[in-house]
Amino acid sequence: MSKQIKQLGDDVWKTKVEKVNSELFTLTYGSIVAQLCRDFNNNYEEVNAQTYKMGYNIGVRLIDEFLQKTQLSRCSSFRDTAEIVSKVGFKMFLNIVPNITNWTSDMTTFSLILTENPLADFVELPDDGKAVKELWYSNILCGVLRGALEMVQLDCEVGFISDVLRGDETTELRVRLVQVLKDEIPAGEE
Amino acid sequence: MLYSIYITSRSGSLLYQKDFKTVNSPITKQRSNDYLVIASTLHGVHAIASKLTPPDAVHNYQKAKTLANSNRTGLREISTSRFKIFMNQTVTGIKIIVFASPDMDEARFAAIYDKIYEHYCNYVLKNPFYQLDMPIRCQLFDTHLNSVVAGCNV
Repeated sequence: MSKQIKQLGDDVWKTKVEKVNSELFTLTYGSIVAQLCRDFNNNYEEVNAQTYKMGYNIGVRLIDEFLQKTQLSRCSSFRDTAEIVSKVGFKMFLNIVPNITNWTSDMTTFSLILTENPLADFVELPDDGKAVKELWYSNILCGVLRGALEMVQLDCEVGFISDVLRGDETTELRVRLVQVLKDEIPAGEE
Repeated sequence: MLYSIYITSRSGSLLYQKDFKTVNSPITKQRSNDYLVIASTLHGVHAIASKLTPPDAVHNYQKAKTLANSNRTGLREISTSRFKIFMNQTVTGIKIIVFASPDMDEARFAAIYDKIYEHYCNYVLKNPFYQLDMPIRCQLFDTHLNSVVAGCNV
């Protein structure tokens, strides 16, 4: 199963996805975050919230693109969801495959370790002493995941718990399934 | 031959409707309110059908399931002597409904559905000024849909 998923991610990446220059992408995102920092007077909490919101709005739209290109149907377990998010989702849109670890025993929470992060290629956080403690630079990713999963009726909490930009060892994104929105699953599904 | 395309939101409201001019189309023009009624009726009947589907039939659909279509147990097809109605549903709950001539079959519809879904993703969802769950008024989407239809109606 895991192999098939990886294969699917590779195939979609190779044959169906439009590519753009990664620097254009990285610099665009960088200038957005920098502008937000200026707009909110380095109130990093607010910047996090804004990038999260932007991500959410992207996620709720992007999910259909993802489903159309991958032809996937609903996952049967949250474990499958994690595999798909990492090996197909991240692969397809960012060409990275984060490692899945740190499952809790009740299988509702897992971590994605981003060994590379195209959003943060050239980034150093401002050395005002505050940014390294408060700013989650790549917070847009959390929003995207949150929005996309919500549209397939998985109510999740998504957030960073560490980031190499802050001097941490790894960049770790935590995803917790709050509930499956059973009432909202469209009629006609098993 | 494709006669009409409907797209409904996951709550059953009509997002998009278009009739296509073809020779001998049995579809006549309706009042705009009636299109809403048709869409929400189909939505409701689909939901009821999904509850009535016997377990054995569900099993058959499992085997024959077409990918990317989450409409496993609901209403999928209505055949009449003059036209057919096909319904597919995405995992996110959007329904794409196609009125076509009786010679249309499920395999061909699946290909058309996939095209429509692709254009919907590209020209509706990726349009930054389109608001989710609002009626679709996107020129680019119209244009691309027309080319899909033209490809079928030659």
